[in-house]
Parts: sequence; structure tokens; C-alpha cells
Amino acid sequence: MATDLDDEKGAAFLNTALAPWSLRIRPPRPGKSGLDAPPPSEPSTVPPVPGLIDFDDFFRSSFPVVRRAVWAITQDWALADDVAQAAMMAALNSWDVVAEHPEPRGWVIVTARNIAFRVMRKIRKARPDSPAVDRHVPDPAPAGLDPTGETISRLDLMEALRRLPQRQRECVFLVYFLGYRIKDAASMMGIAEGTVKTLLHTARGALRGLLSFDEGDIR
Amino acid sequence: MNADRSLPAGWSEPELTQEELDTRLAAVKRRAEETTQIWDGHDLEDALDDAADQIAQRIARRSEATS
Repeated sequence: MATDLDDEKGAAFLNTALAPWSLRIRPPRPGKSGLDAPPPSEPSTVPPVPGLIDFDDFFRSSFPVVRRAVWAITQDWALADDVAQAAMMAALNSWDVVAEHPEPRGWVIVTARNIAFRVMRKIRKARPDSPAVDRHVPDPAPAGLDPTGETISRLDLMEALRRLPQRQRECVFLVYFLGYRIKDAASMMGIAEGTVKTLLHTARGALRGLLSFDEGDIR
Repeated sequence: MNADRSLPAGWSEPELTQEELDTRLAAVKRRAEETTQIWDGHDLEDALDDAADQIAQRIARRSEATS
């Protein structure tokens, strides 16, 4: 039977386990959705995972999504693999609670991003020059990014996304690539919906600037 | 969903075959079984911090191996 964060068991678990983090799932409040079940009048673009009760099915359908969400933060597939597996292990260890959460996949993404940030902090502390730390600072313009070319290739788009600040990049991935609603992305990231909208707006502007043609180049 | 929404073609996402997914699933289940007792003694935050430690150490080893 599905339950939500108002459920005593689920709420107690989440509040206890996630409360120390600045990025956490908050109990639902009327009119403010986080990862709580969407209102019937506003269906989520993220359909429920079928066969949710079975961890194996959940893992197979959700692991690639979680991995992509972590990659949006780390830009390192090996690290994304490791973090996604650790988050899945956390879910399995708490499966009786997570399986009844209204958005188990969101729970795992929230957990994974917290692990990812912890890993990056540890790496940054131990090896400040490591390439595995987050890449807030844009790399020098890669040779493949050629906004004056005839077409904007997907590779150009990837490189442009890589140059976005981490929070903007994560918003773009959660909302535009993974299909989460703004309110769900806000809840996962522990920030306000308005902040997500602002980050997306800023990201779109940055991408427009990175990928746009000069007027004289438009044919 | 977009749970199954893929990244654009051309992105360098390593392919995950069904076999690889199953291998990862088996590893997760094995590690979860091995660590259950340890996790029982920690709260989730400590457990995730331990996981982050292990991952950071693996990354450091990988970096050393490739440098």
C-alpha cells in the first residue's frame, strides 16, 4: 500500500535520517509539493515505477536514471556508477520504507546527490588538484565548441552544458532530461521552486549565449 | 517518464547492458547483506558518509594508477 510522508513511519524515518542535511526531503505541506504524490489535477511527467515492490525491478529501471542524475553533478561516469550503486544500497537497506515512499526514485536521487557532494568534498580536501572534484569553473573553450559552424551538434550542446555552473546543470538535467517537475526538482535539490526557475532561466540564457550564432552567421 | 528518456545521441554515456545491470544489482545486494550489521549501528548519515569515504578512496587509487 502506498504511503506518503505524512505516514508516521515514513516521516519519522526521513526526518531522522535526512534532517541533518541541508538538502533533504521535507514533509509535505498543503499546497507545497516536494516529492509528495502529485495532485490528481496535475499529473506528473514522471510516471510511477511499475512493480515498485520488487527491488530488482526498481533497480533495473531506476539505476540508469540515478546514474545520469549523478553524472549531471560530477561529470564523471565512473564516479556516477559508484555513487548510484551506494545510493541503491542505501535504498535496499531501507527498502521497507523506501518502497512505500511516493517517489522512491526521487529518494534515491536525493541520497545519491548527497553522497556525490560528500565524495567531492572529501576529494577536494585530500587532493585539491584532482580532476574528480566538481567543475564549477568552466574549462577553456574546447576545440569542438564551434558556435559559428553550420549546425550546433549534440557534442556542442554537451560541451555547453558542461560549462554551466553545477546547480544550473543539475536543474537542466532533472527538469529537461529526466522529466521531473520543477517542484520535484526543487525538493530533490533542497531549494525553492523559484530558485529552480531562476537557475533554469539563467541556464537557458547561458546556453543561448554559448550556442548562438552571430546574426551574420545565420543563413 | 522520462525515466527511460535517454541523453542525446552522441553523449558519451557508457552503455549499460542488461547483463551489466544485473552484475551491479548483484553487487549491491551482496554489499548490502555484508554491511547490514554495520549499518544497523549507524544512522543513515554515517552510513552514507562511510560510502562516500570508500568511493573517494577508490577514486584516489584510480587517479594514482593513471598518473
